[in-house]
Amino acid sequence: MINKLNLISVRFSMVLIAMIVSFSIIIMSYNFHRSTQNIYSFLYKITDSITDNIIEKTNYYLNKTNTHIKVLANNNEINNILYSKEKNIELMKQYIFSEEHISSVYLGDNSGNFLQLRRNPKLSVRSIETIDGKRIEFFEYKKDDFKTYSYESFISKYNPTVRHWYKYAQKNMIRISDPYIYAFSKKPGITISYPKYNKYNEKILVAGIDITLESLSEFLKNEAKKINAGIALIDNANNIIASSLNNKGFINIANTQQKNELIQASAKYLLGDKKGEVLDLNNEKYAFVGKTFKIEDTKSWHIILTIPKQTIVQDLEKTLLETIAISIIIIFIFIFIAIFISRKLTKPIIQISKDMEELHQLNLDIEIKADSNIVEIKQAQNSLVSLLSGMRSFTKYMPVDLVRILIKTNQEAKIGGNEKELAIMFTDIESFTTISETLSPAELTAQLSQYFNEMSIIITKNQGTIDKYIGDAIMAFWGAPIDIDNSVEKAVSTAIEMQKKLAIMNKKWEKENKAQFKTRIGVHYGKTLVGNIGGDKRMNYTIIGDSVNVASRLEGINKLYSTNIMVSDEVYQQINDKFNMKYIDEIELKGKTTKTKIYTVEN
Amino acid sequence: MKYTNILIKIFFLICITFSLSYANDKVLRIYSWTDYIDINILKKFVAITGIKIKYDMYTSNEEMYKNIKSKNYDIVFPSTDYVSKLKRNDLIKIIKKEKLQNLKNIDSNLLDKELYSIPYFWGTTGIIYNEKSLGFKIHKWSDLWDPRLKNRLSISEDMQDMFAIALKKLGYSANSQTKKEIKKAYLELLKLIPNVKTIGSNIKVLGSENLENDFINKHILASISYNGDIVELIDSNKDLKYVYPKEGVIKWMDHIAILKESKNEKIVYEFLDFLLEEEIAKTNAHTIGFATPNLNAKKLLDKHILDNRVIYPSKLNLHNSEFQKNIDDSYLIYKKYWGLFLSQIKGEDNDK
Repeated sequence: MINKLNLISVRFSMVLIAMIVSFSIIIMSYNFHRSTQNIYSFLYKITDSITDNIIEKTNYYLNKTNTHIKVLANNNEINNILYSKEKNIELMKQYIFSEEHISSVYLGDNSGNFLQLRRNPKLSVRSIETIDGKRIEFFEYKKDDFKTYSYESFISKYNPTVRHWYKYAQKNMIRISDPYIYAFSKKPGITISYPKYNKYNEKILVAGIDITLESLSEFLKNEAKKINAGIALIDNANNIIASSLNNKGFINIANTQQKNELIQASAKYLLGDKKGEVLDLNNEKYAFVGKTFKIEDTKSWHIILTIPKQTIVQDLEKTLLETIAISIIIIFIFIFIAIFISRKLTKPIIQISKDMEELHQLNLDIEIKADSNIVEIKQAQNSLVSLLSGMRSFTKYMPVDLVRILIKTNQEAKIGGNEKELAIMFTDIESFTTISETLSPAELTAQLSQYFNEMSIIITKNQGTIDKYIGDAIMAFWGAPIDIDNSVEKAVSTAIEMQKKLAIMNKKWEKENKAQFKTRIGVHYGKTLVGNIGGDKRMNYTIIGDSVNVASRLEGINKLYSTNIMVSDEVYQQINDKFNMKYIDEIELKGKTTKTKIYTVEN
Repeated sequence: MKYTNILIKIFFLICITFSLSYANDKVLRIYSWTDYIDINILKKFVAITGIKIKYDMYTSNEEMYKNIKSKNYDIVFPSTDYVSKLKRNDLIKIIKKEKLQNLKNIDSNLLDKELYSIPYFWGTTGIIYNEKSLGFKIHKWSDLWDPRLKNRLSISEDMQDMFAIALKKLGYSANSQTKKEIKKAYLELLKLIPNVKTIGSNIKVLGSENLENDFINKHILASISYNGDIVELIDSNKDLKYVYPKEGVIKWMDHIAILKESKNEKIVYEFLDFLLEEEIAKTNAHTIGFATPNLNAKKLLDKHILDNRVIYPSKLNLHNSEFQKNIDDSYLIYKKYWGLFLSQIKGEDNDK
C-alpha cells in the first residue's frame, strides 16, 4: 500500500516530465517545420528583390542607351556617317566615357561606311570606308586623354549592312539583340540598334551600342556573396548570361558539361520545377527557386537562386539547439520543483497514510507528528493525533481483536450472533467484599486495576476474548470472534498462568503490606450463542446461554472443594492428556439437567 | 595510296601555314613623329596594295631611338643628327636607289651620298609671339631674354634646338662642338630661366597642353616653335607672328630611313616609292604643313602655300640660317649642361 503510494507519486512526476518533454518536442518540431517552410518564402523574397533590381538595372541601361542611340542616329543629316565624322566621334566619346557598361558605340550607313568608338581591346576609333573600290578599315588608337598614339589600316572584311544590328533594325524601333559574347573582350553583352530612314522610307543608316552584361554579373556576385547563394541570369536561349559563377562567356544549360548546383538548379527550373533541391558535386544539398520575367515583348529571362541548405539549416539548427537547451533547463527546473513539492507534500501524506494504516490495524503504540508546514496536511495530522488518543482510550472499552476482525474482514458491526462451541472462563476474587471493606477506594481501585491489567494481558496474550468485567470478576472466552485451535487448552493454560502470576503478585503485595487476592477460576467448554447483542447505537460483542452459567457455576464450586481452578467434564475430555487433572466429584450443575463430573487442574 | 593522301594533306597544310604567315608578314610597321603622314595617304596605300599598315608615333628622336631597339619597325623618320647616330650604330640600311622610281622627285642637293636616308620634310625653329600683348617687336633671338617677357615664354623641349639658339645669340655656330662655347651657351640659357613659363608640350611639370589656348589666355606671349606646328595658328590668329631671328634661324630636316631589322624589303620600297610619288607627296605636304624636299610635288602645291613664308621662307628669312647637324662628338657635354639647365629650371619652378 505504501509502495503503491510512492509509485503513484513517482508516476505523477514522470507524467509531468513526460508532458513537459512532449510539449517541448512538439513546439520545437513545429518551430523547425515552420522555419523550413519559411526558407522557400525567404528565398522567393530574395529572388524577387534581385529580379526587380535586375529589371530595374536593365531598364535603366536600356532607357539611357535608347536616348543616346536616337540622338546619334539623328546626328547625321546625310547618308554618309563619315561626313560628320568628328561630330559623331564627339557624341560617341560622351557616351563611352560617361557610362561604363557601354563598351562600344557605332554607326553604319547604307553605303557600307562604318564608324565606331570602342573600348576593347584598346580604346580606339575604327572606321571603314571605300577607297578606290576597296573596303579600308582604319584604327586610331587613343590614350586616356583621347590623343592618338598609333594607327592601323588594312583591307576590311566587315560589312555593317549585313549585320543583324543593321539588317533587322526597323523604323522607329529600338532593337535589342539576344545576349552574345563579344569577340574581343570575351564578355557577354547585348546590342541595341536604331535606324534612320529618309523621306523615301529607305534605311540610310543605323546607330548601335554594345552594352556589357558584366556589371549585371558583378551585381549578382555581390548579392550572392551577401547571402552565401548562387545566382544565375538566364536568357531566352537558355544561356546563363550573368551569374555568380566565375565563368567567362555563356553557359548553355543544355550543352554544358558543368554540373554544379547552380547549373543543375537552372536545368531543373527550365524543365518546370519552380523550386526544389539539388546536390552539388560534393553531395551537399542546395535549395533553389527561380523566377521568370519579361525583358521585351517576346523575350523572357530567368533568375535562379541556390542556397546551401546547410546555411539555412545551420541557423535553424542553432535555434533548435537553443530551444532544446532551454527546454532541458526548464525540464530540470520542473523536475526539481516536482521532487521538492512531492517531498514536501507526499512525504507527510505518506506518513499520514502510514499512520492511518497503523490506526487501521489498531496499532496504537505509534507516535504521530503534526509537523507539516502545509496547513491542510497539518490539519490532517492533528486530526490523526486526536484520533489516536481517542482510539487509545476507546480500545480500552472494547474487544480489540473483535474490532480487528471486523477491520480485516471489512465488515461493519451488526446486531446478530451465531452458535459456536467455545471455551468459557469465569474468574472471581475470593471474599472480595471483605477485602474491599478493609481498603480505601483509591487503594482498592489501584490494586484491582493492577490485577485486571495483568490478568487481561495474560488472557489477551493467549488469544482469549475478554467479554466483560463484572465487579471483581472477569468473563472471557476462546474461539470467537477468531476461530482458534485448542481453545480449551489455551483457556486452561491461561488459568494456570493467571494463578501463577497472581501468586507472584501476592508475594509482591505482601511485601507492600497490601491485601492478598485469591482467585477462583471456572472453565467450561460448550455450545453458546455469540455475537453483537444490544441496540443499533450501542451493542456488545458477548456470549449468552447455559454454558456461560456453567462456567460461572464452576468458578463458584471452587469454594466448596477449596480449589483454584475448576473445569467441567467437557473440558477434561479434551485436555486430560495435557494437564495434571484431578477428579473432584460428580455434581448437578445449575443450568444442566444431568450430573456432570468436575475436575481441578493442579499446577 | 593512303600515305599519298596523307602526304598531300600535309603538303596543303604546310602551304596554308606558309601563306598565312606570309599574309601576316605583309604588314608595314611605321614609326614616325606624331601625325607626320596624312592618314588618307595611308588608307590609299592599303587600298592599292592590300598591305596592312601599323603606324606608331613618337614625340622625340630620343624616344624613337629607345624604342626601335625593342620593336620591329620597318621605317622611321629621324632628324639629320639621328640619321648619323642610327647609321653609326648600324641600325639603318642603305637605300637601294634602283628600287625607287620616284627618288628623282627629291631635291638632289639634299640627298645623302651614301643614301642611308631620304629627306622627308624640312622646317625651321623660330619664334612665334603676340606682338599686341607683348608691346614690343621681336627681331632677334636675344629679344627672348628681355625682362618684359618674364614668365611668359614657352621654350622647346629639344636640347639641340635650345643650345643652337643660345649659340646663335652668342654668334657661334648652331652646331658648335667647342666645349667653351657650349658652356657659354649654357650660361646664357640660365639667364633665360626667369622668362620660361612652359617647356614644349611633353614635360608635365611645366608643359603646356595647348599652345593655342596658352596664347589666347596670355599665359605665354612668345614661344620657340617649329614652323609646321604653328602654320594654322598663325592663319587663325592675326595677333600672332612667326619671326626668323636676325642671328639666323635654326633649320632642321627629317628623313625616312629603313631599319636594319626590317624584313619586308618589297613592301617597304613599295611604300617609299608611293610616298615619293609627286601627287602623294603634294597631298602629304599640304596636310602636314611642313616644307617638302620633293621638287615635283612642290610644283603642284597651291600658290598660297608656296607663298606662305612660315612654311617656305624667303632667302632673306634664311640669312645666317644653319641646318642642324649631328653633334654626337660633343653629345655628352651638351647632355651634361642640358641636365643642369633642366634641374635649375625645375628648381626655379619649385621656388615659384
